[in-house]
Amino acid sequence: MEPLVNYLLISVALFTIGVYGLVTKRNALRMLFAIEIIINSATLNFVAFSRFLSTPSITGQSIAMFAIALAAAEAAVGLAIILVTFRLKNDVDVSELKELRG
Amino acid sequence: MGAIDLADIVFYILAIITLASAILALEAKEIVYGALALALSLLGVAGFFILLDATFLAMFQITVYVGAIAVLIIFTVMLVRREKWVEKEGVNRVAGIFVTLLVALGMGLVVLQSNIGQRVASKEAASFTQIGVQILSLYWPVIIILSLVLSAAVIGAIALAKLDRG
Amino acid sequence: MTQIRSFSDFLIRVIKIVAVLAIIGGIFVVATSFLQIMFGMSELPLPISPSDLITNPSALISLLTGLMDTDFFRISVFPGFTFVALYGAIAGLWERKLLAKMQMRVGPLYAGKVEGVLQPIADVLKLLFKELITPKGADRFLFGLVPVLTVVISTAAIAVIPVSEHWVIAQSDFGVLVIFAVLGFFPITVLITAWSSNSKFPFIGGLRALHQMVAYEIPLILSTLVAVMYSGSLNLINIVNAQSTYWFILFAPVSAIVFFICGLAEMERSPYDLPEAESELASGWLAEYSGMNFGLILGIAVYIKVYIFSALFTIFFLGGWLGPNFLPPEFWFILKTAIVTTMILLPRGVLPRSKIDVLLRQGWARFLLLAIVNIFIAIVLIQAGVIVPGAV
Repeated sequence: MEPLVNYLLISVALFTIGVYGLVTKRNALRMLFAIEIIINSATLNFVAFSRFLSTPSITGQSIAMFAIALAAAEAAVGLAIILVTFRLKNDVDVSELKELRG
Repeated sequence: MGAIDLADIVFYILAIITLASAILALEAKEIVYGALALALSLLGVAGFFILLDATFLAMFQITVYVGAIAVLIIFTVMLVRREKWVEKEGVNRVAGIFVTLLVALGMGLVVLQSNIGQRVASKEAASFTQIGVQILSLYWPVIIILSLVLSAAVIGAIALAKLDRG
Repeated sequence: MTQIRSFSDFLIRVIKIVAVLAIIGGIFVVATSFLQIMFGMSELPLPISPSDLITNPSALISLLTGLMDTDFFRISVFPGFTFVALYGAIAGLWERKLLAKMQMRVGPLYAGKVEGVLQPIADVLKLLFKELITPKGADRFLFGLVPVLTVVISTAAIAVIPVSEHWVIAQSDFGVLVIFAVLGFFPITVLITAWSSNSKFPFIGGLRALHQMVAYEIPLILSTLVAVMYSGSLNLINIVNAQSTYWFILFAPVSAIVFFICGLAEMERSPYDLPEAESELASGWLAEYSGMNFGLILGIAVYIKVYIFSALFTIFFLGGWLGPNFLPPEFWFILKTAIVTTMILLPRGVLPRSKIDVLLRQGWARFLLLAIVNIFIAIVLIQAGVIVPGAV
């Protein structure tokens, strides 16, 4: 069993990669990938902590289950939005979505 | 360090696979490869769950994330894909790297300098049957709200993506 | 190499190979005995020394039984890959003969002197010698990867399927979940297969296959929930042991029917074989695969899936390996699995194909409701005390 710090560092690394993708990329699909990576890093964090408590607890895993289910819902709606945008503008570049700009 | 046993080797290999696939998912030129790399990264996280004695959650993650969400993402990527996508360089790139380094250093220092490293794992993990007990007794509002959220998501996605045929 | 033109040629080739192997083995035995005598080594690091083999052949038996208990044997031979592949080959032949007799034809007749029993071998040999064509503009890496990936994923699901209480590769407390996690990979493989062929017919066929598979996964999982409720455990061995008085099919007939039909849809067999409709989409999402690529996907992986679903049906609803004691439990398991396989193979000769919209509507609306109906029946029976979870 690895020490807790290793799992937390992996979670930090995944979070960092996700944030980099979200800030840098302009393709809406890549940003969605980045969001999924961020959610996974948080879930890994929860499960790692739930294992390393002094009395065995399963709360972290329950929270992780809810997080996974919510991520599914969010991915579905996000992909529907991307599909509709693609149909309207034939492009998934988020910097081209300027209609509401003042 | 002491003896390096199999669990350590598996941990490092999984770490390399997960992080490399996550980077590949964002940087691959061909976006379908990126989507497949995302599926591989999710599998790597499931592997971490198995290492953390959360095998039930690992199977759940594989069934939901890799079996459903990754399929949805790959399917949409194939429909939306265009031959040439040029990611224009710009200010965003520099700002991105700066923010990333900030986040990485900040969180990394917090993790490394705290006392968290002293925690030792308890002897056995809790059994997975307690998840069911907790969901039905302690977290029952969450389940009800979650079902409503999922229904709303399904209806919303169908309503958005439906083609108006005449 | 000389061509194989008849069964006697085949036999001569086999005898030559066996002779070469025997000569090599003999040289090995003589050499090690020599080394033992010459260098005075007391023993070679082998479990049984080769010169001992000649003088005391009954020691070989304990060696073999020791080998049969290892994990490697289980993975590669008995409940593992070789058994499943042989089962698949025999199922393929049986399907063709069965459908032929139903349609008043003869089926494969010429390979092998008796009713074409060597037809699977002939098919494999033919596929091995064909040219592998990669379409122009196709994604080479994915195109070559997918057949291997399909077989690997199909085989991965048999890791938790027990043939009897002793013969299982990996006993797991969540066997049911592992099976469904692995089954969730099939839509991805279909999608990559369809896309990497870079051509229209396979892509449309692949999308149809994907929709069909995703639609029928949920009723499949819900229908196994009843078996899990009755036995109180996700472990496949406990599910079988809980059926020692009555099989679950008596208390969950609707679920058994739903499981069977959703299994037909997941395996893309008739009447749900629209994705590989031979007359419609020019063989659908596999159109661009030729030679052994085709043989791997359409031959091996499909029949491994047939084995998986037959075995799961036997375990969940038909009492697994439980049967009268005068025959070993493995025999009962294989017998029941063979009967279920026959029932899976039959609709191909009988039923017409469903249209895609009818298929999807049935999957999402009708079968989902039927599966939930049986869950309610199960809840009522458990609450009424008729069934105690753990032992029916």
